[in-house]
Amino acid sequence: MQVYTNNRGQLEIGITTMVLIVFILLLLFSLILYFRFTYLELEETKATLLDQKYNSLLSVIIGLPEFRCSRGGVESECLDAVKLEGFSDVRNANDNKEYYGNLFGNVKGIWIEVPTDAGNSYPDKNKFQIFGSEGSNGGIYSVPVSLYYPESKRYKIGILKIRGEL
Amino acid sequence: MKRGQGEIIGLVVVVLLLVFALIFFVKIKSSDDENESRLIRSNLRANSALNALMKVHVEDDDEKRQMKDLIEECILTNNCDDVSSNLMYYLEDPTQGIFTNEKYRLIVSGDHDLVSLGNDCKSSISASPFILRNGKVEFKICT
Repeated sequence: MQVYTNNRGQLEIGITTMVLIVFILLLLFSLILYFRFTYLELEETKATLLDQKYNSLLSVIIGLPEFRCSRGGVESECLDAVKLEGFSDVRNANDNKEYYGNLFGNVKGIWIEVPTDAGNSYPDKNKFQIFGSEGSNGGIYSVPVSLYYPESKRYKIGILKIRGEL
Repeated sequence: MKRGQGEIIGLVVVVLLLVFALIFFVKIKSSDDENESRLIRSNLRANSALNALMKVHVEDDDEKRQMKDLIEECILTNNCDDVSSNLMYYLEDPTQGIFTNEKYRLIVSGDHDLVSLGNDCKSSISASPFILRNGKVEFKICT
């Protein structure tokens, strides 16, 4: 009688232990999976927010009167290459440093590449540096823009790029 | 089958079903978010790219004309070979193209489609059509 009770008790303990082990294993697996997906979701949210942030900034830059083409006070949808060329003087003027620092925020660099030009001097310049430096860390957010060269009255295609957080 | 074994199998089935439900939910949710994110980015890109493409000056011997003028002429004459090759150059040239890494669809149409470049997209973001005097240009970026 004593032996039978002991065997039954051991069997119950064994079953309970097995159930507990399986349950804990599945719980751990579920938790790992849950946190992995939560992490991925957080990463995606971060990417979406950064995307929105830098896209807003790209829109702001395209709309700045400092760069935008205008004729007789009427603005058109392009960037003036002469204004871009002279912007470094405007940006570096003492009164403007803080203003542009606040406007462009914590981006590492803003520049426009002109794929069709290979030179370093205006008007065949292949890059207009607007702010900061090109750098190498972080993500690049870009949008094609139309560039207008007033002296030759011609348009080229440029790519406005921002180096920001990734 | 003993009672304990039945309980274990039942528990395993329930937990597995819960895990699969979780995976399914998270997958659907993440794909929705991805679409939203790309939509925001591409809309600005598509409109700005089409505007830049239509305004760019194309040099032909000594003559330089804007792409939109060449397209208007192509619609008038029904001869769009030059326009097609120029558009391809600015879109896909390995060193100078602006859409070398992205799939797109560009259609020039008058009474009917005259130039059709790029791929058909399952889902895409469209730029506002560029309206010409005798036709229009539509541009989509595949997402």
